[in-house]
Amino acid sequence: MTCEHARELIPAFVGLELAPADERAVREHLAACGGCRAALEEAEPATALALRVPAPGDDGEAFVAAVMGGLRQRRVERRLGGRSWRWLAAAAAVVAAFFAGTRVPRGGEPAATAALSPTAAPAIRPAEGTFIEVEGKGVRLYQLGDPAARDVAVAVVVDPTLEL
Amino acid sequence: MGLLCLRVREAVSEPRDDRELVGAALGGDENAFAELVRRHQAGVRRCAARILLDNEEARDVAQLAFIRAWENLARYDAAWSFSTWLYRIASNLAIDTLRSRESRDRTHSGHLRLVGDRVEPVALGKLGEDEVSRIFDELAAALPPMQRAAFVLREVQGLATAEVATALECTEATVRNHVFQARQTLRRELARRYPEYLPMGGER
Repeated sequence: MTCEHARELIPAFVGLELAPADERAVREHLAACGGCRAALEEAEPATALALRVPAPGDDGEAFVAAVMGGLRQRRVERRLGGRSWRWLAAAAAVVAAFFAGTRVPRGGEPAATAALSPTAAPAIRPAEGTFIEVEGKGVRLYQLGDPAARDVAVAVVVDPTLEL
Repeated sequence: MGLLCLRVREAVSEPRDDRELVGAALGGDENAFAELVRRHQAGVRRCAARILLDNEEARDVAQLAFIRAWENLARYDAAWSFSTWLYRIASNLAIDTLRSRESRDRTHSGHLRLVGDRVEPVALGKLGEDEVSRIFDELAAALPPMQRAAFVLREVQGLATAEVATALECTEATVRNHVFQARQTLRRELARRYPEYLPMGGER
């Protein structure tokens, strides 16, 4: 689009009267042409300001991960919804209280580990192999056990982006 | 060899359009939905941020909008573009948040000048991105929620009038009215707070 054409269309652009294709062309031209942006500022400074409002910073992938983590969290919450969730939450709390600071090997007796500070920040550290380590307090317990495992496992979600 | 051919075909295949991705997501394909989030997150976040005038709160609202979209995907009507549907969910959430938010102390007396102060005109085009966002937020705080949402969707994001009407569940005439009234308020606030950014320093 030439500057001459763009400036002819600016009054209709400001009047919200352009067809979408023409409007896109004018917007693209304005994005690239300082002279025509100055002409738009004369015609409608509020629209000229709006055109310069920037897009958010580029942390798009972190945002995508947060959304997808949120979906998984909601799904687990739904699965554990209603009465069964209450029962599981209570059971999980008991198990967590009992085994807090311990590693719980599946298929074997709980093995004592070094004492963990109860004031430590809530965290989950999936240990190597079949171990799950629970630490601290105030974490949210969502899921109990792997159906295939004979012993207790506690899955704790403290970060919605974690895979379950 | 067959596998190699398949991989080559995948590598050169056209990107899937939104409706194809929605179809795949409806079948449980989370990667397809992640691609939709990737495509539309910048626009949704920008709109939420400029409606709420708060980047952090906007991030939460935008995230919730995508989660709601996923949970209600079966209700998506393919007669609309997927982005319009997303903007509808996000702007509803943002407007609700705005209306329920306790009024915040937003005084900007530091930017007010005494009447009669002379200022030299400065082109808006000379401002940096952060400065544009700050000034926009300050001026847009004077707009009621629906006017602000209509202005942001129409003028900042560049949606067509019909799309904004769909997103805000009103008529196109109402969208135009909101935008024109919003511009009038923004011009008035600009003249009051930043006359240097008006042509001729606000003296017209």
